[in-house]
Amino acid sequence: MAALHADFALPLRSFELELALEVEGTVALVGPSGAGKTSVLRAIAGLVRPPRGRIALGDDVWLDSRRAVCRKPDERRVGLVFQEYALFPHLTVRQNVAYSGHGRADEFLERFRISHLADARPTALSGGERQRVALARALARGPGTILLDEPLSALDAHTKGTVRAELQELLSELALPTILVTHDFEDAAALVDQVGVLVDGRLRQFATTSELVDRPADAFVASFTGANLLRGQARRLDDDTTAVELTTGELIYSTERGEGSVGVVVYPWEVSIGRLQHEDSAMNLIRGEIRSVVAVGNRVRVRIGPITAEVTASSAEKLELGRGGIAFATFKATGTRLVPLA
Amino acid sequence: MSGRGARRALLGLAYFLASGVALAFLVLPVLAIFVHVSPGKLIDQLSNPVVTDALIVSLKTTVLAQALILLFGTPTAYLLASRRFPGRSLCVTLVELPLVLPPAVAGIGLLAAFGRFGLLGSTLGWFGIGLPFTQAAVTVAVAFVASPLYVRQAIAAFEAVDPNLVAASRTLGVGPARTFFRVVLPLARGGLIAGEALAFARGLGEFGATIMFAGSLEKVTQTLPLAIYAQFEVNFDVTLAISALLILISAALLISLKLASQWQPSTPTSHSRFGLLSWS
Amino acid sequence: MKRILVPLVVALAMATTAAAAPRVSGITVYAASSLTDVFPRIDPGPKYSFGASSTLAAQITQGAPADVFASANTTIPDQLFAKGLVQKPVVFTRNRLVLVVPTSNPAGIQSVYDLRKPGTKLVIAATAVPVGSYTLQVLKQMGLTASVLRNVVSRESDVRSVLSKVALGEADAGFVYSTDAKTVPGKVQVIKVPAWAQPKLTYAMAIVASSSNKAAAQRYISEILSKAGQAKMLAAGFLALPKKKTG
Repeated sequence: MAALHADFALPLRSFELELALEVEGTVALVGPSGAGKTSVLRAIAGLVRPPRGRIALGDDVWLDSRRAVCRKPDERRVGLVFQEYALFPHLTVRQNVAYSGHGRADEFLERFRISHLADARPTALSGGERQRVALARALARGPGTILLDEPLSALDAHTKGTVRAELQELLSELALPTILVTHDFEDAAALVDQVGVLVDGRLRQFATTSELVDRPADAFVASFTGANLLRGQARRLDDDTTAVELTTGELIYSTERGEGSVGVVVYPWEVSIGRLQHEDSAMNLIRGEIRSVVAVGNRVRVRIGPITAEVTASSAEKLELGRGGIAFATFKATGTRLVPLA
Repeated sequence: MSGRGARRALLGLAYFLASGVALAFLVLPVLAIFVHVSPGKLIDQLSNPVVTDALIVSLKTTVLAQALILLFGTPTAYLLASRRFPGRSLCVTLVELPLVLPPAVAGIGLLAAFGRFGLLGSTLGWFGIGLPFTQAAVTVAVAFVASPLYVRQAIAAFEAVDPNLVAASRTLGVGPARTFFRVVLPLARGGLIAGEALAFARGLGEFGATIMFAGSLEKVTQTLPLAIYAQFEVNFDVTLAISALLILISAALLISLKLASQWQPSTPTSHSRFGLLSWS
Repeated sequence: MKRILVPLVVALAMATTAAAAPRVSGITVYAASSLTDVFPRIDPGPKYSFGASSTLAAQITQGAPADVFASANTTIPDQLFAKGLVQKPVVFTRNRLVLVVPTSNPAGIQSVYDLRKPGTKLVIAATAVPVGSYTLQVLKQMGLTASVLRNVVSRESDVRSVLSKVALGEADAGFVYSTDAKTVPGKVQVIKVPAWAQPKLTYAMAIVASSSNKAAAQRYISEILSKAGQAKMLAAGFLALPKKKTG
């Protein structure tokens, strides 16, 4: 299977987008809005032309600025699924899927279970149905690479889960180099092998989802993965640990190295809650007012002061957690990560 | 009735009265013409050579002019709608210019350009081509005054097409020309038809520029409006008949165009104000 | 006594002439296009509306608010008189028809007969317009009707449009009044129409029946017919009325 190679520089409105990617499996591109993620997809599809760079799918060179090669979008075998799907409103579902003219429309309608919608117009479909049509249409073309722009963001929470599972199955089945733009870490985690974090036009980190959690490169990555991000001033101690004085006043410790202005990264599921203060030198302690208690599935997210903890529903019940009460959040110094603050 | 109720009733009355006045004002002149000329007289006049000659000249020149407008105006509008380039707004203004010119001024402009001693006219003269006083001149005058109406609408119609749809078509392997015919045109149809209706109506009623540039000669350059003017002091009945005829043609035009655009409604698909992507 | 008498008489004469300077106000005069320059020179007072006599007559028939109607022929006022729309018309001047060509004379026209040359672009007025009907009379007199009308490229709605097309150089030739040709010196060459072919070209004017200011209208007509008025008409190139002054 051919790999997608994208290595280019593209000036955008307020900065220059510059990245180099080698995609064999599935990659998610995440980042704050305006970071250039959609522009990456457009550049690979040929909808914008980077002044410098090389984009190729295997031996098929689509862009080579040094040899003045630039293939038009219709000459590149891409399957691009737009954020709002961009279905042709004046054509039926079947006509949309058959648009690229490769004559396998019915097969794809079947595969995506939308045959019963063949004669409907896109405006009459639900979000999930439209997404399937968009996918079917892009794949009916027989692309060599798949580019998905926020495939799940236009869906309501209920549909999202089902669609995500279907998408996961589809991507592994297709086994084509895939780039997926998303702002949701959980979607990324479920769908891709590797994640590229794009901030202000540069890739800050490119790693698997578990590496991102374990070793976030910076504050953005940390908050993206759902961690708590506390701020404070760090100083090294003699025993090779770091003490951080948080802006909220508490003093916590980390086994990682840090100096100066740092972000403290702790994941909610790493935080324990107690109603009584324990003296334990191995634990970091934050005392605070219970700000909110939210049930998420069979877990409960509790916000205590500046930090969010996640415990099981039964634990929450036992502790009698309710708004307004005082609680203690504890987490190990060994699990406390430090990231530089920009 | 309370004070507030009385005020509301009064406002309501004024509201309907104003609308009534406006509608009557618009309908009355049209209605009055038909009151003055009975259907029998109208049909009678249709065999009057002055009327039939003028009708033929009008139809020939307007249809030809509209064909030229569509042929040249559509790509122009698409270019102006889909690309941003330095001087673009100037181009758009130039295209709109004939709209704000009084027809007589347009006529003088055409003479200055294509007349015997005109800018281009003198060159054409060397090849033995003389434009003024010919039926071709009528076509040129009509095309000149009517094209901005079409082009402006066409630009708006093309701008209303979601650029993502064009991008999608390209990524699905369809080239720029076929994308235009398969995606852009069908979606812009409604606006294009509306623009053409305006241009056609304007062309049919064109007078000032025509009489300046092409003159008025029965069977050659005398269009329906010119015939009305010429017949006004000769035979008022004929004038009424021609006027009634023009009204009927215009009404038929309006209705058929409404039907054509109803058939496949083109809804604006784009939320963005600015046009299609700048690549091609 | 004699010493102050002469200057006194002169002063009085001057005073009376100054007091009698024509200025009838409060009336509207509808007059033929060819009178555009000369009428206001005779009396700048009234509101003027100039156009083809036939167009003006049609407007008066539709109820236009004119007090005086001056036509480039007698036929139209007589028709209006027969319909009771105007009072009895009076003739007030005469004119001559001429052929004009652009100064550059692109078609090389030297006489009316040259108009037969194929490809000549001749512009005349519509038949309903007086000058148009006069043109046809001239051509008929000269036996040129078929051969010349073939070359007509446009029938204009009034005499000044004919003149403009020739002056601009767009037309090769056109028939206008000799007084019109004088208004654009240097732009056109005048070619005489033989005297024997000239039609009876008499202008007539009348008070409009629906006028609410007939007294002033009558004063205006008298002005035009006065010695001073007639002198100005002659200066503009119009012809004197024959000795018999009948309406």
